[in-house]
Amino acid sequence: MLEIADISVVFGGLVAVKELSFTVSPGQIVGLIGPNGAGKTTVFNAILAVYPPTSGEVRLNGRRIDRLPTHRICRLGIGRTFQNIRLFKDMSVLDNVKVALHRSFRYSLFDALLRTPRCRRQEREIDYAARDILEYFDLLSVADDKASSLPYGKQKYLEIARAYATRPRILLLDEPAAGLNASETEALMDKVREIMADTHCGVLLIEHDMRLVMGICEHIVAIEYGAKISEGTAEYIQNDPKVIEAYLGTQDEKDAAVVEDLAAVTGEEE
Amino acid sequence: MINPYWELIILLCLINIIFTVSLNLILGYNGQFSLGHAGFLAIGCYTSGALTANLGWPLWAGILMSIVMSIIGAVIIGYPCLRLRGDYLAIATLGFAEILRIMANAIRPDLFGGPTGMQNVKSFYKYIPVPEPMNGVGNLLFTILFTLVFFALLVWGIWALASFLQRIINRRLRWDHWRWLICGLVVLAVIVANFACRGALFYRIFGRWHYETGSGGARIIDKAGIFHFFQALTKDSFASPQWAMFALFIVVVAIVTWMIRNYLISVPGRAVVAIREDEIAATNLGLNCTWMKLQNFMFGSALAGLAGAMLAHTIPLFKPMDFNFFKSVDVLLMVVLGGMGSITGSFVGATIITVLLEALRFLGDWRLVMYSLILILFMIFKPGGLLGSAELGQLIRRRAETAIQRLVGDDPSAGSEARDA
Repeated sequence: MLEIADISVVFGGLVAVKELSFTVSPGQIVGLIGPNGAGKTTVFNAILAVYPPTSGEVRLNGRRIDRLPTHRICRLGIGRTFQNIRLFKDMSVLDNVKVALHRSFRYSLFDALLRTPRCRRQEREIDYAARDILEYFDLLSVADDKASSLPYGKQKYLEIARAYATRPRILLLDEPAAGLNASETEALMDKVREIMADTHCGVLLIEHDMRLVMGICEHIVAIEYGAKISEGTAEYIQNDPKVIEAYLGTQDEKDAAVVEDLAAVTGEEE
Repeated sequence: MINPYWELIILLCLINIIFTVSLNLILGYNGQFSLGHAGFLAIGCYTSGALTANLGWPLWAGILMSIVMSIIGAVIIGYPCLRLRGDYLAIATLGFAEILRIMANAIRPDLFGGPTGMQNVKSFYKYIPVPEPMNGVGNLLFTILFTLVFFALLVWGIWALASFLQRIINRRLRWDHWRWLICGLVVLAVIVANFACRGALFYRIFGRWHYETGSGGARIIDKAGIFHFFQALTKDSFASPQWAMFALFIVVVAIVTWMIRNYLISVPGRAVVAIREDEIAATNLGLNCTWMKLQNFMFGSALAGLAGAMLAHTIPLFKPMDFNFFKSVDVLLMVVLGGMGSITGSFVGATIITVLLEALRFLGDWRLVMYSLILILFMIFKPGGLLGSAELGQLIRRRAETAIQRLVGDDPSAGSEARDA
């Protein structure tokens, strides 16, 4: 279970995340929504201590993790994908997954250099494991291709496959559906559900596609300017005036904007 | 038997291969910019030299210590710098190499020889016990081997040059056979030149082998050639354990290459390449990037230290100025020319630059201009280096496949592809 308790992230004078708290339980999909620039990705970076939270705590299964270095946090069981795909472009698809499998296998540098039987055996197991994962994500047919040569949709899958290979207890997905069409999005979400069913991990999802978020997430957290404005089930969020306000603006603001526009137009004409 | 001058160049090639590969590990595979790699060469050279020559250590201990000292140096310089992303390592290693050079100048002249350098380091020759009957056969075999390598490089070089020219000419005049024409012209020019100077080109390569029959039996008089086939069967050759030197160096290069290949297809090697590709993503997969980079840097520096130790026991003298900034640039050039992220590329790069530097010796200080010229030309026409990130074997296989396809003629696109390549 991932608990986020009152975290704030401050860059100089800018408060990017303000006293945010929520939890992600195993087997649960939590959506994190908010308008552009609301600080959603910063929340991810705060959880993984890429930007360590200025105050507050992040706990994974009761253990405080926000002061650990990023790679330790990931080893404790948080997997992550990126908004703009970050694959190892010049490496093969298979190697991309193999990189993520570094942890479950142990041999020393000297085993590696001298290619001892222990190293060879473990490398074989890594190979099998990586191919299994690729098969699970329907990528086995392109295992030997360069990662950068994959079509966009498959790159998304590969990134999730790579995160999946680290055996996460919590998976953080940053806009997985961006750039995908409706049917591809649906397939991807089915895959995410399948992963959850198989591994019983929790998922924290950033997504702009509201239909998708409302359809898949049991629990949604809405933030604006780094602060939580609403939290609850999909129906609750959809009908919460604060969320509507954050996305569409208030009636007053709209009126003001219309007046301003008119003023600008008439000003130009004069 | 190969004449001593060219023997030294070949041995330097082999040392430079190790040195280049060590930088390629850091620069090509991990994307970390080490601009003072000559510093690690200096550590290896001076450690092994001082320990064996002035403190009486055995050779193996000297070489081992030079590797250990390089690793210590790598930790000192790498630990603070590799925690950061960016070009800090380049600046720090640059300073590190200069500090080492100045230290070698100033500290303990009785141990390190001061500015004049060390001349009393024993060559490998002194350590090699050789069964004498082997010498003649061994020397002949290595002479044949290096002749083949020489001609392979020569043919490939002419072909590459011709292909390159074809690409340029074809921008205006399309004709598929420019490269054959150019190759033919080059060969013709060599033959004409050989005639013009009464066979001197030929002699320069194979030596002159007219005999002087005196009290000592048949001897070869002229030793100007690179490859002395005929001398391999004379008394000189039977007395020289030259082949053992070559064998030793080639075995070391082979072991190093094998270890690097093992390294690159295992967990730490893949992690290192992943860090080059995207450090943030690698961290988010739970890789300890700092440690992986440091480990790789230590490995690379250890190899540079090994190259240094071998250098110390190969060249007759070395001095601090041999390890200045230009040495670092040399090795950088070798890596870039061969192709970053290609081990066989480093082989080619190191060989070409080492031989070229000797061949261009008559230019004096203008050699430095040649450096920049080569580098600029490569940046313009072949930014990935000669081999890019592919290995020689892969390239040859790919070429062979397209050639076979073209012969079979089932795929017309393959033919045009090969023509454009």
